[in-house]
Amino acid sequence: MSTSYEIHPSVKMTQPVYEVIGDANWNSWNKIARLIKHMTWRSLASRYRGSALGFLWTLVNPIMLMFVYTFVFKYLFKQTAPGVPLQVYLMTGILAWNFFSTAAIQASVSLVAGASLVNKSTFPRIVLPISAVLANAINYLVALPLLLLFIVLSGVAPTAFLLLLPFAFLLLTLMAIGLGSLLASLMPFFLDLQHLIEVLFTMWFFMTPIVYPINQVPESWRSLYALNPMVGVIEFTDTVFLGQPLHEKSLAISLVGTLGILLIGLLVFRRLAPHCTEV
Amino acid sequence: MSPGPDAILEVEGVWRKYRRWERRPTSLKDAFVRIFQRNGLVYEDFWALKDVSFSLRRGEALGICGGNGSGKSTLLKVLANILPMSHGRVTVRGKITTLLDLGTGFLPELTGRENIALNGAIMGLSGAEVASHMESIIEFADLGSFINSPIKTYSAGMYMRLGFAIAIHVNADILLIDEILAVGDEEFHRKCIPELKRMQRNGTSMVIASHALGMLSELCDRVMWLNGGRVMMDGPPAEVLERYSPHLVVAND
Repeated sequence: MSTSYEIHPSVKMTQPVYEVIGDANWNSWNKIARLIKHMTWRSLASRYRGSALGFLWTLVNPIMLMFVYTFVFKYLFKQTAPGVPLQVYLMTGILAWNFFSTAAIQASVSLVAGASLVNKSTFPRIVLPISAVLANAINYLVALPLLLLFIVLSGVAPTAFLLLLPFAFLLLTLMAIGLGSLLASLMPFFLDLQHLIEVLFTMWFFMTPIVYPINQVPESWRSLYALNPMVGVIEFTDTVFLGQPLHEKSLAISLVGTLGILLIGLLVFRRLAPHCTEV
Repeated sequence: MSPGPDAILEVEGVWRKYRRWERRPTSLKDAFVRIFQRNGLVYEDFWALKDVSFSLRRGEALGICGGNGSGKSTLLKVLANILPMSHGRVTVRGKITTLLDLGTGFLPELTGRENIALNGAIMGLSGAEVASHMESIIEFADLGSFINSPIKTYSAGMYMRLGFAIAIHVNADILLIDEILAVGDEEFHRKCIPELKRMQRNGTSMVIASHALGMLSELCDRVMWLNGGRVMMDGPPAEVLERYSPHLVVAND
């Protein structure tokens, strides 16, 4: 048995073709959608299993962060937000960011975590990052009524911009799916990416107007700063919930950035994910 | 070998390459450092499957024998599209399911019952279809109260039983089995073999990779002998196994 085998030139090499005929379900959108639903509920159910307070636990983290940041930025740094109480501004941004970053980070490890599933069955791999993001998306949606209640109680009246909420939600979700898929397909090959990702997300958090308004970024840095696609998304959530002025330009950058990341993420995933079992 | 209209699985000239690294970079740090090292990124290509072709008729059971590293598991994973192939063509005419290693794709932290539901979804069954099979699967797997415990608490035999019970209930046209019954007790073996035979009579095709030659000759209509990724022989079990057995003894010495 020779190990260093060369293909003889006379052998006709064809591009690989794998074809399933007669099973309408084979990797059909229908099956993928059903599995996404299944896995999303699975991860939600396992998170809330045995806890009487259920989804309230998802709120504990942002509420505590809000208290800490309010203390630090309002009382120590004398930070203010234009036209609204600072804690409302903080809460809006932190909830959106937490949704995005938790979703993207969980999606990025989903392929490694689901190895026992994808290595032994005909499980469509794209289901893993998407369902990781959707589980967090549902958490975010569940938290929104409480955010709105908090906003109204703080004396900020909702504006017509609130009708654009689905668009803001979609932007956050698609960005998380794109980035999560991209990172998930690289993770099996470079496991230390995990540690890098957490540091990068922390840096990214501070490079995004969440705990401060964008007008505090020096003018000279503004155009570079605006290249961060999360700037427009976070500003947009402030517009949607708090009626802050709409920044069309940064929103446009976010939209282009989101679609770009989504496209790249899905393409890289399609190219690399089939090989994740080899490592 | 004429892939007639009743061929449910056609495999034509399948090659599968593995990249064998001197020492594979496993992290970004590692990869980065290695770029600057001489011989840091040295690898050689290793062909795990070389020009494998065969076809399978409806209801036919094909056994695969061969030593460790002969390509049996790689072939099954390629047939299920779990691993991409390098060259070649696989055409499947029907629903394909797997029973590889111990499970068919389980999540360790879910209970037995939840894994049944998950597997049903992987096989494209609706919630109602899964529910209709649930009790029958649980009964066959015979796990008692363990069915409601996370399967990470299962023994290897229990894992096997659950995987097997699910695989025979999803009504696939083709069942791919790797090292079936490698674990599990005598009693369960006696329960499985007739079940597989019943499925064959009902038209389920199978590809069974195993070291247990006795079982291959009992279950299979045909046996294929793989050696170093190449098909050495493909024919009636008695003939192939007779030729293969001496190699087995030599290999074990």
